[in-house]
Amino acid sequence: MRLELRSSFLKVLKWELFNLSRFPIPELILTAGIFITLQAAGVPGNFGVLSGNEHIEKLSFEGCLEEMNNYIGLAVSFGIDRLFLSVALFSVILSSLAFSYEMESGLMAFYLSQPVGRAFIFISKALIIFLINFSACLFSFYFTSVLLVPRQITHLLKSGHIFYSFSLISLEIALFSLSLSVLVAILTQKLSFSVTIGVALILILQAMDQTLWELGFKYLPPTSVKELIFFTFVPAIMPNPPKLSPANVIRIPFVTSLLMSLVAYYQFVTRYEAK
Amino acid sequence: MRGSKIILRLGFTVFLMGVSILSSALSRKTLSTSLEMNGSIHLQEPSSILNLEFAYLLNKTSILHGKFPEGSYGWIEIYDRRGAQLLLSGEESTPLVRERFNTSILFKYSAPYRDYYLIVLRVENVTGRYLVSFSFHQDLETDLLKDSFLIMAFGSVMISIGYVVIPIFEKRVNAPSINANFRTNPSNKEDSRYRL
Repeated sequence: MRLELRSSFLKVLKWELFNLSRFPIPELILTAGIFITLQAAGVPGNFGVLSGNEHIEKLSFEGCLEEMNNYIGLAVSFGIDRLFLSVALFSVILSSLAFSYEMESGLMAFYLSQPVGRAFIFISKALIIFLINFSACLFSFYFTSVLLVPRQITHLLKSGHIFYSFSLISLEIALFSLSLSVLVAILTQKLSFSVTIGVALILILQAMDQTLWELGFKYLPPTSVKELIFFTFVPAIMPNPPKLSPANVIRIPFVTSLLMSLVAYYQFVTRYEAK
Repeated sequence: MRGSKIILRLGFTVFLMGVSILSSALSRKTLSTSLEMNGSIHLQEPSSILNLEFAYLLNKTSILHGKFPEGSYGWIEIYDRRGAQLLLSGEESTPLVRERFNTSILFKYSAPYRDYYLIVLRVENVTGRYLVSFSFHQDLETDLLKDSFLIMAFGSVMISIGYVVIPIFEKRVNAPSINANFRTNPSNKEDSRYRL
């Protein structure tokens, strides 16, 4: 019985992988990711903040070279709050295709008539969308870093600190955009509504970035991403960085994402009626 | 998925990545300072002999000696231990560099994949030791343009291999038989078995 369940889940997962990774979608996410991270990397202002502090001034040339890795990470990841917009938009498109389009066209009713649980269908769809976005994010970070300093490729691949930081930031972006877009797609159940409302919500969130920050709601993406970068990279460079609340930086966005995902899961598994 | 399709898709992906790098390089209007950083080198000798370990740019074992005139911004000559001048040499800087760093000459090192520039900002005499502040710079626009063309060319080669070369071999290996023709195209009027 367990084996059957496992094989059916794997079949659904494989099907969704082929369905959602059709030709232009992952490529476009990747292209947008690389474009945005390259655009943002190396803005002089980013280094102006760091070059003025005493810690850097006291370093020898060799010491500065050792700090290079953190600079690369910082340079690349400073553009990440812009990457949120593109990843979130693609997440809306993928979620709308996977959920609301199939609900509207009757494909979902066909899936539900198959001997596969609703939970499996939900998890497989959400998991594939998440994996596509997360891997595109991570790949664009690494690709941009290698483009900036080709000789650093081995260090970038081996450095646990950079991998941890890039993964954490990518995880937050991918998870938040996924949970928001899937929730909208399941609640609306129509492709046009899902895309419109999802895009509108993300644009509002992006536009309110500064306002949210000033109002104190700085732990929701994209504002939390800036805090996360500060929390992960800056302490490695500055000996006495301003105090942050890392627990909030990590906890609040992840809890928000988890809550939205749970609501979407409950709505799909128990409340959704296939037409 | 057949081999040709995989190659074709990978080729398109690589080509699109090249396009995104190209558009990114073209849309950057300002002088890139992506890897700029300020640091200092302590000169041990009063005769202004620059003894810097250029570990990042060159091999880790290479220790370079250079002549550096105190208090001047203009030029730098770097020699290896045997006295031969290395690749690092002064070049007339671009107007943007001149404006930004207030220097007319910058020092270029051609690495295998990238050109790096060392811009000397100031020299200070601190308790008998010379403190040289410098800026490490990379001209990212030019590098990105070169990279993008290279990546697009690589993608194009992959696309042409997937579109032209591999299908030829696949057709030779999987030559369609009468049965295959029957299965794939039952409305084929050319097949003798359909004739009345």
